[in-house]
Amino acid sequence: MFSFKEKTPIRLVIGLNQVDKMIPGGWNEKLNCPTKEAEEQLEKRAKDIISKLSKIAQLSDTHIEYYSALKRYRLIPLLSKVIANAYAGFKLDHIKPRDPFELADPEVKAFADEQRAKRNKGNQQDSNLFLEELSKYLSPQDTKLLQEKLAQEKQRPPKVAILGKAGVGKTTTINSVFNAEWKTSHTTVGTTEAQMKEFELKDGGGTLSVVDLPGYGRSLKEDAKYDEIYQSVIPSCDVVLLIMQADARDLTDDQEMILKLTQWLKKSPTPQR
Amino acid sequence: MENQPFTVLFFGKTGAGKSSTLNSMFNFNLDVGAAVAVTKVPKPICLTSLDYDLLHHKQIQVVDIPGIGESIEADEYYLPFYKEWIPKTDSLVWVTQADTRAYKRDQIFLLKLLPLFHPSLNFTIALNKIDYFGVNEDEKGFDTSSKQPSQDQLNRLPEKIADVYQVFDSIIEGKVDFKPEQVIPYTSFYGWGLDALKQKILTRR
Repeated sequence: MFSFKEKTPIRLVIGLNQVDKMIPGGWNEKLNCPTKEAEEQLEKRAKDIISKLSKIAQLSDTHIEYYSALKRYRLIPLLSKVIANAYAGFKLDHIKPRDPFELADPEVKAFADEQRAKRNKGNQQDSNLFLEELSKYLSPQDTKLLQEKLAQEKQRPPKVAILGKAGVGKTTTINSVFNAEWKTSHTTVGTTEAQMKEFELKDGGGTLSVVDLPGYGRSLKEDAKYDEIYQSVIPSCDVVLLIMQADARDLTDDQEMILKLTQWLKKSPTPQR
Repeated sequence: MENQPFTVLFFGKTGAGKSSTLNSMFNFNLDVGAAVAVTKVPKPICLTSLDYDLLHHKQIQVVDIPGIGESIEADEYYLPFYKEWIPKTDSLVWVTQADTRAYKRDQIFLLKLLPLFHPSLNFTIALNKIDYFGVNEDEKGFDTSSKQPSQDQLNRLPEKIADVYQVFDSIIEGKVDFKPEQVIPYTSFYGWGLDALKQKILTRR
């Protein structure tokens, strides 16, 4: 029925939400953090999840983080894992991923750096001058291609898909983690219930797109129609944040989703947009 | 009938709180674990009816059956246990949690197990974790000092019960008697609703 042997690297982060509900009385309201006992349970829980999921996908403890969106607890560690597991082109705030242009010719790299610096200052005036310089080294086709690549990088902000079972706190997580102003109103992706939200990042970090996908596992009837939505959105994303509920132990729905995710992401090893 | 043990079977998603419900309801001392599933083999436990004058039965046996949904492999592994116990069951208590909207796994297992149900089966949905139900930032949560749900939670409860009822009823389709009154909200940890649940599963009232 399922292939358990196949292991594929996967741009996925598991967020273990609602840690404030891990055990009754397990939240210290005063300090706004879990009690020691709850924290021990959480670590065990995260290990248990990864050991179960590692049988079906190439996941390790670098792919999981526990947090509470409602209590705003451990949002930075969660965000760090999101960035760490995203596609290499993913940029966020001050985090600098490896530069794809580093693998290009030194002249091309210099051009890219120059363009980015100008973009940040909002000054594009001298680009034509530099492009003239560069055209000494590059063919007209390559120059055009390079311009296109840079334009793409500007136009296509990093994109995060938020996925998880119904009621795990996807929307709460988005509101807490990506604490930023709405740039656009809710946009419907196709005719679906997926919502695309765009955030303006600090310090000229550009925009970040977050797609809030409908929650699975609610009922057989509803899930039947969601796969199509997921398949249309997920291959275009730089990273998928799959949220689980700390106090819910049933993993089967999530396992099935991760099996499907693995297949979709494998077909699109880089974000397809 | 009176000499036969009355069999109550507890079933449901892993982590929904089957064992902790049994512990609170019957003063059992079963292992419960928040992080990792602990119930590995079905445990029939016999009770004498002395404490339960509600019942005509001389003996009650309570069975804690391994939780579903732990993982794909585990679900298949446990199926024979369910097939063994459900036909012998008088009262089936389906434990699920109120603080989720995801009931597909319940539906899938109900579909699998429904052929094992006999028409006179007393079927109860035990809707646990009411203490965690419906807490938004702007709403009051469970009152842990009085061990009562907040007014906000109580206001939302009828809608929740109707929704859970619909989720199960769409699968049951008249195979056993099932009405919204058979969805019982409670919290095994604080005890609210536990007596109502106990009465329902032992007497149908």
